[in-house]
Amino acid sequence: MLNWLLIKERKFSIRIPVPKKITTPKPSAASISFDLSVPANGLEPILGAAYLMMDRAFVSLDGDRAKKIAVTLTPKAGATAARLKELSAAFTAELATQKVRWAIAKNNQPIREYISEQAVLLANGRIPPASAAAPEPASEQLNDEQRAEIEKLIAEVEDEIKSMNASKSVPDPKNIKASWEEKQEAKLKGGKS
Amino acid sequence: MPVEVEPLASFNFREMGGWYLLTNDWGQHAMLETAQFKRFMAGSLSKEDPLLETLENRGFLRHRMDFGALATSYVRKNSFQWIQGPSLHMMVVTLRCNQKCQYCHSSVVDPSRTDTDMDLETAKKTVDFIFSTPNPTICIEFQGGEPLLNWPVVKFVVQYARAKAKATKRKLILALVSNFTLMTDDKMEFLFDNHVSFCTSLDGPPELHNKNRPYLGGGEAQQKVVAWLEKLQKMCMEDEERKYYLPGALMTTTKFSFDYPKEIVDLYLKLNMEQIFVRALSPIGYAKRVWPEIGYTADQFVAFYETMLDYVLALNKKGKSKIMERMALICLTKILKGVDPGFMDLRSPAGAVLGCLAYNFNGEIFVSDEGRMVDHQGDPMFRVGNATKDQWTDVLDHPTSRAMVSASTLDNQPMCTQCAYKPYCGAEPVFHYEMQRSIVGQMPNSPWCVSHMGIFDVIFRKLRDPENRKVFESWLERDQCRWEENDPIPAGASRAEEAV
Repeated sequence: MLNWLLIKERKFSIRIPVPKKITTPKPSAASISFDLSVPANGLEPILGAAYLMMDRAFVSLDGDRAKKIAVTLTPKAGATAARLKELSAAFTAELATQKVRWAIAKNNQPIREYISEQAVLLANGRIPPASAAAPEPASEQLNDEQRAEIEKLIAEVEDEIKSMNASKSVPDPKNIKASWEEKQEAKLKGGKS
Repeated sequence: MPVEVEPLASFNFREMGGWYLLTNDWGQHAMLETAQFKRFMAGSLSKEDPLLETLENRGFLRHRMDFGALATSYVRKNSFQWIQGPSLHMMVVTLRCNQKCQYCHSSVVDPSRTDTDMDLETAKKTVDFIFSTPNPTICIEFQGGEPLLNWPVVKFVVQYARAKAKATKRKLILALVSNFTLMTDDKMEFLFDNHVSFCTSLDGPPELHNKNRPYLGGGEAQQKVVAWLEKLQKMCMEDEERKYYLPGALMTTTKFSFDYPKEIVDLYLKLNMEQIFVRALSPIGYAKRVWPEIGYTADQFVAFYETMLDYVLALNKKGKSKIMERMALICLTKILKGVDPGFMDLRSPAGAVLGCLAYNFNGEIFVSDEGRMVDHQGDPMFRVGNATKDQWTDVLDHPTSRAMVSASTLDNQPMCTQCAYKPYCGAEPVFHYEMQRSIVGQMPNSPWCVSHMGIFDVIFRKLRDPENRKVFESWLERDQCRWEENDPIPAGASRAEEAV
């Protein structure tokens, strides 16, 4: 029985089989061996899982690195049936995680390389830092068209605020909501009249 | 667990027991609950999910990455990679020592062996070599043996280096690492006047310190260290100009230390020390031979470290002290500030050659002080030149230097390259050579890896607690560490201020 780990790469999805049991274990007195398909599992995940087992087991790999690899795990702390089963399960779990890690790593290699390249250029002063890369234009640098556009937008927002204030029915006997400019304008008008 | 690879940017992850830690090469991290991690991995985060924006901003989702910001973050985090040469130069002015430490970390000889003193001519050529390296900041650290046993050379190097720094307009930092047993008022005044900072070893209360570090000169070593620390503290606090030269102390953990976690911290509190640095003992040099008597497993060290850190945090939270733990501070500087604190061991590539060099009494140059200790045991593996006759470019181009850089680059290590702690960690080739006869090492079997991953586990778990986080953030604000971008100063070993 197989679980299926769905891994979707750039323009297509691929389905990589993750065996619940890695073939049929062949327990012997000292070790456990099993075969893994390289096309189905990938070479790097198999090597990665083998490396990570080194604290618990002596790991032997044999076979054709393009087709099938035979894995033999010999526990460092003495072989028992239970320990061999544990090792087999641990290898399976490591292999599944390795597939995910390698899929992510391969899918992002060009991006990592690009950012690293940018970092080197940045550190050597060949490109400006991110904060200075796209500076906000200062008002003096605006052309007439941009300035007119901004003024138009400001006028629209002011109108919107005014109409919102006018529509509010909260009583304001002391005219608190009025802006300073409005109050000054009212004072001037009052003075003139 | 279903995985949708397409939206995922490059990152590493670690299951932390109920939650996941995510990190990426650009120095960003995220701590996700298991359910959140599953949604993230499955590509099923909705547009309304607040986690989406957080992960986007931190570069974990590839459909919206700010390349410029991430590159900037990478440059800041790895500021040491852009510097042209080592900043830390450790001068062993003598191998003689008047202590017979259990771990004898520096591979020393009897006080009568004056043939292992650096002479003035070698000292001059060593300083000349140091100033031929290109880093704009030069930090000379006097080590030994006990450097005060060769006081004339210490004095000469201080004056000559200051003159050279002035002439070449270089920034100079001077630091003395001493057991203080031979300190006098005259020496102290000279060192203060010439802006030399002080650092010593203090393993804990008398019964522990004197057991770890027996003194050959009569009397108890611990009382002498404590007396001088108190005096130096007082002088620094009373003088505005000297307040930046507060003495530092390093504690080395032996298995005897395990019985005194609170007593050690309490002693540092009593002495008004700003920091305590809980350091593991390395089985290098002489310590390797006596490891069965004084050593421990990496797991035991991590448990001891957590006990110490818990006590330090509890004191902070209760308002009883503001003392900081140095290792945590180094890690937090990387994790929360995203900058490099200048700690040579936790770099990729490691500090050896690119960040530091060690000079033996006879002018021989080593990739690090640990490399010199291996040489003292009869193995010249880490020798990369001689200051009396070689050029800096010879040292940089030495096959051993190249091998050190390659071996300690974490992207070359099968396990490290996938580790969630890669942005903050480092691999130490000399340690692995001594432990595993390979400068590359085998990380699944490495006590170095177990202890460092253990320390990072402890720190990240504590960061999840808001009260701990508050304390950690207050430490970062108060940190007196002299690091700055493009201006790294070694943390812990030296607390020197700009001297010229």
